[in-house]
Amino acid sequence: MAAPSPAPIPPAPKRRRAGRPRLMRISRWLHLASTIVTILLVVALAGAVLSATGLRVAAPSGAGEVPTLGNNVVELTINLNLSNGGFLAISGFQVAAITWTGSGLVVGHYASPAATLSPHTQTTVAVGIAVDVGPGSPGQALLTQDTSLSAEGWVNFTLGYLIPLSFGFSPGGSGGLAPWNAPFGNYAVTYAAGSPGTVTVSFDNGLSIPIAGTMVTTLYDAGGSSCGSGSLPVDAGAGHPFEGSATAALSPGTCVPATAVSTLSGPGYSFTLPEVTVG
Amino acid sequence: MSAGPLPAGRPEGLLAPADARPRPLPLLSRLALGVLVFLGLYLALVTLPTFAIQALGSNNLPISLSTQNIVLFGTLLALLGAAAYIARPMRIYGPLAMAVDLVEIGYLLVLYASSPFHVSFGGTGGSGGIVIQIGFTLIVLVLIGATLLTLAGDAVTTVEDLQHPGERLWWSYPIR
Repeated sequence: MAAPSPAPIPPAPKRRRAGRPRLMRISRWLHLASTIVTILLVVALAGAVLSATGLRVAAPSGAGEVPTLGNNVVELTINLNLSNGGFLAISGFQVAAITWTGSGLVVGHYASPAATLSPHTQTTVAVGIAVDVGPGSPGQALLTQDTSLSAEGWVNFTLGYLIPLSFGFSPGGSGGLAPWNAPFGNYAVTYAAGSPGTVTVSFDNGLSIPIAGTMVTTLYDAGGSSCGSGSLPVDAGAGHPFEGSATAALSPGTCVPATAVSTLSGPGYSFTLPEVTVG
Repeated sequence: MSAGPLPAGRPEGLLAPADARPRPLPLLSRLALGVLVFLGLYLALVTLPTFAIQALGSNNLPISLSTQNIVLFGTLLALLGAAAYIARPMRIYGPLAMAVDLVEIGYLLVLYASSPFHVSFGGTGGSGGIVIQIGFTLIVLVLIGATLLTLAGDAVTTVEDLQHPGERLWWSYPIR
């Protein structure tokens, strides 16, 4: 009978771990998910900031405020060149601006529609602040009075769909004030009696563009009744004074002109100037 | 629930030598490392942010964020984080980790309420200066979501410690 073979040596105990229990697996997955979300957020943030370094906003060299005229509206326009050299789109790009007088009256505002600036594209945004100078509006006095306007603008956009940014700026010098040169500065109306009488209008064009058209000046007596009117052609060069005269046939009777209201009609624009005392 | 150490109950199906036991760091070592954890967290959550805000403020770049909140929440987070580290082999670990998550969520909510940050350059009060607003509500919301996931994970850990005391230690402190 053969000798019994020695008992087999048991294998070395395995030192590996069994699968984690269910609750520990769930806990681990939740922590892992949290870590992944945080890492993705950090990567997205870093990408957004990196992409934003390619954004350029600049006014074209030599371009300043360019006024354009409308019906009882003066629009100050600044063109902004935008260039997105980044690899992420700039979304919700919007420019807004507001301007007000020293007494706090808001006379103009602007808000561009929101736009998306695709990667590696450039565009120009015309920021136009429309100043309402119509009859009865707070801005009507700006037609004839030089003053200083406060202005504030905002550029809003969202970086990488994650970080909304808003840049607020106040153009102008000290006090955030920008000079306003009235298009009809030192506006005056005089009347010389005669048969017919002569009405003379003078003003200084403070704008950087010429003003041309036909001005109708209506004269009123102290009771507010119209005495008559005169019409004269106007051609005031940019930054130049203007003076012109026209005959004015007054109503029969004893109408003594006390005040005058002038209306200028030009190519694509018209203005009603504030009432002025006749000199 | 007691805060004492978890009995290292051997999980079913764990293939390991019969005399193997998880060996957490001794309490004194954990205390020493806990102090380091506290100092590291305090540096990251309180010292550096307040220094950065003060440095920006002294360079005329004030940021609209209260340093009081940073000190309060940062100190709380550093204390609780260190306590959770020390208590890792104990039953109290799960609740402590949840407390860290809850304070973190509170901190994030305060940040959410203070969004956007305002940084001013140049003049003041609209006098020829530039003001930058940086909104971060979406970022904070994502971080709150991530912290809620962590909170849920720590809640599950708490339940695990209640149902199977000590089982966690075999993975938290693997046998050697």
